Amino acid sequence: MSRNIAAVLVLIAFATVPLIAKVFDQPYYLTLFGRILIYGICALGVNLLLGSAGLVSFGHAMFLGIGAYAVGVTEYYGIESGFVQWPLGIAAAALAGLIVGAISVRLTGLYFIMITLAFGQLFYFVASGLAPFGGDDGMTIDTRSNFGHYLNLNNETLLYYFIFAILLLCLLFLHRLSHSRLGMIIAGIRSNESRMQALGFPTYRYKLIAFVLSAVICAISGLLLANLTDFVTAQYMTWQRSGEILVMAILGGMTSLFGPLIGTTALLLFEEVFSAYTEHWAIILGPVLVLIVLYLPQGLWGLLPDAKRPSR
Amino acid sequence: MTLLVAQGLTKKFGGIVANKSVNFDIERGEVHAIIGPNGAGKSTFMTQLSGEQLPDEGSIVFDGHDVTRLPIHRRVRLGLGRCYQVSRVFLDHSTLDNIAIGVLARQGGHLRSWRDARSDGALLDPARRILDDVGLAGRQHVRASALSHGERRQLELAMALATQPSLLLLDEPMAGMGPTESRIIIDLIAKLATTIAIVLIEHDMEAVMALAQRISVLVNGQMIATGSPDAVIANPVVQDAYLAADGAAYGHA
Amino acid sequence: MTQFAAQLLNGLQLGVTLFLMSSGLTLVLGIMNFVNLAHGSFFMVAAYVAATTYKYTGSFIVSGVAAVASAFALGIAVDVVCVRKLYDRDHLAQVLATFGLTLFFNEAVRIIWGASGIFAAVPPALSGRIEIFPGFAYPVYRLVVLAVGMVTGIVLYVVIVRTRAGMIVRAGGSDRMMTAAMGVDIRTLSAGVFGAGAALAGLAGFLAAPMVAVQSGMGDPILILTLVVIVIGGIGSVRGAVLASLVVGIVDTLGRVYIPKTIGSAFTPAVSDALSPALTSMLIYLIMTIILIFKPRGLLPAATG
Repeated sequence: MSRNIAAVLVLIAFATVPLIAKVFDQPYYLTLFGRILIYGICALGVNLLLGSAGLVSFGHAMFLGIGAYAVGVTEYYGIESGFVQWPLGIAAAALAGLIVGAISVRLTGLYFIMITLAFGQLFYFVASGLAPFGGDDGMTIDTRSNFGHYLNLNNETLLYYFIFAILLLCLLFLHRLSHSRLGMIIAGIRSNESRMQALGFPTYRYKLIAFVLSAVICAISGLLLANLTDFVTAQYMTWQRSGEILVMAILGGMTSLFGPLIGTTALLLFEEVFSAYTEHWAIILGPVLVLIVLYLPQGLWGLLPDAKRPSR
Repeated sequence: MTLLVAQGLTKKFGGIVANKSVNFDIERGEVHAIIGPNGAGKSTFMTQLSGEQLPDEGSIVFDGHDVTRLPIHRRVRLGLGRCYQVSRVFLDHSTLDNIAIGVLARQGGHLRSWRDARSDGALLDPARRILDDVGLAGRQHVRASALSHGERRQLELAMALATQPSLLLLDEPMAGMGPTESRIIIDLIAKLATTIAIVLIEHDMEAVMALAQRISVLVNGQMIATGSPDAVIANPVVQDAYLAADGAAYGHA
Repeated sequence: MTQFAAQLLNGLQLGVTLFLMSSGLTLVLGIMNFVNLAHGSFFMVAAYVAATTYKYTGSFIVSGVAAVASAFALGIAVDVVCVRKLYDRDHLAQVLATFGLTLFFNEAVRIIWGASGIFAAVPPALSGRIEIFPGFAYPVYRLVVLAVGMVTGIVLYVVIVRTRAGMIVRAGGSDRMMTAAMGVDIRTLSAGVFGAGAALAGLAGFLAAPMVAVQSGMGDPILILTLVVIVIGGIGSVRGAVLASLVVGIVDTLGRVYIPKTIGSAFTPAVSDALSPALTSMLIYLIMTIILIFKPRGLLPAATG
């Protein structure tokens, strides 16, 4: 089975979740798969940096948190309109991404990992210290983003399809990006940054652009998460979360567009299924991860043949 | 007309002086070769010209601009290109794509254009022309990793060409080449030299004599002679220094 | 004044713990070019082994030996089974794989010892305080930790700088081919360095056990702090690790005590409550960031870097 066909099947499967939930009378499926889609979006954002630009950020959960807190904080002050919350969250993430990226992108390798981790911790500690907004214990959100009569997110099914639609938009955007000139440059930087500089590209600028774009995508997933769970907590921004999202991207396969979504699905379903059997499911996950790194460098998605290898 | 002037270039690593007060210049369209034993500091000199290392002392003026401390990519945009001793092409891209990236570097519209870059005529047409120029016509869809050593060298040159340099730094382009491949590269360089100035570091004296209008000799970090090929070869100081170091160093390209 | 002296010693002692952790990690990173996120697991396992062994034998020394030996053995095992296959892969693969190992060990100790952690006792001979100067009494145990750390540092220095084995270790980093040509088996060398690094982490875990909560995941915060130390000091540089460990240990400890005080006196309680935990925890990251901006390769980068 080729990847393209498999991808379409997976997307169709996600699209039918609300029907299945209704048939089996399990509204919980909407929450579960909604969460999978949301983390999938975040993993796609992280992979823009990772798979395309080769930058490993251990702090990207901070942008998810910014998105989530955009909803939480505005609600706290009585602003419910999604038309305010969403642009605010995206703008805040873009700004934060610009500042964090401007400093971090100068560094490489382990130094880059550590500095993004440090920034992530910064946001986490600030958030957990903000008592009015719940800190680590979190804060419930009473109403979801209000988009007037255009969209009622209180309807669980509608919310699910909203999330799904945004995922599709993300996939489309990232697909177009990877084929555009900008995408070519970013890929070249990942392949060999000094070579790109030797060709005359100001690589810093492009890495920064990729950083800001990935921050915005993660923030969007945060905006969705706050709406799905009706809850926001500083725990959304820990370095462990950032690590988990990286795992999702790499598990699925960071060299492909669709891989991160597969990785997210695999990881979260695995958690869901195995935690029902044993509380010690993590002991299987560890070795599985090691095995995948050792023997499946292209991730799970790499098991399927890719229709378009460059020896065309 | 002088295109590049390096003056008093000095570079130290710890206690070792790799380049000591090196002076060098090259005219538009000239081929100026640098020869000398291994470890003389030729590559160090090259890296200071390209921007990978910054000199401790001295200055470099290229095309009227002071580029002494300019970042690599800015120098390239001014027209100062470099080819590497160890080929650094993008192995998992096709030959044509490799050149296209170089073409892209020259063209603008990096952020504005949303069309598929890999089928964009604005990138591919110039790339195909360069492909032909370097003699790789017919190899355009081959993955770079599948090219022969010599073809990869041609690709390197193609990529540098795509950035439209007025000066090209070539660091031992003949390294690891058999006689047939060498011939191809020499002819290619000769062809490029009609429009582009070339700083050529080489051990292969046949190539140097065939291509260079001027030769400079670098020994132990210092330029000991500069002049026309015949004059330099006949220079007793050069013969002493190069031959003295010859036994150990020469020929180990 | 005595409070300051006490906190300073506490900071030094944290510095010692960090030094033991970071010297092993930076050697592995600098020599084998390997990022080991599972380093915290050696710390954790050693702490568990130490606490358990002490409980059954009542001997501090025996529990120490057991802890270090088990960490060493674990390090060799991890190297042979998994790490050795990753030396040629990129850092990302190493990060991911060792992250997986961490998940495994964190869960494994919960299965073996239960989820709520265990208690490690301070041996009676070392409990209590000693008067360093009149009016200032300091816990004996912490002084012992300081002493052990300093001795280890000196031993490490001597071994690396003055012995043939140390020379090979240093050479192994800068030139694997050369080392192989010298007749040293690279794989044995790797396993040895990795095991030694694990043993140092084990020593840190053994010493720390009576002072912290021995529980699953205890290695994670220490690992992060260790990575910060290495980055500040310079990857691969043991001298850097020494300097950075002391800096981080002292700054972090003093920061936690004095920042809340200064903020508390300058701002309202509401602001202070929000600000000081964030600031104390962030202090060390801020310092790391500032250092990286001015010295992107750390304070004392290794010469071969």
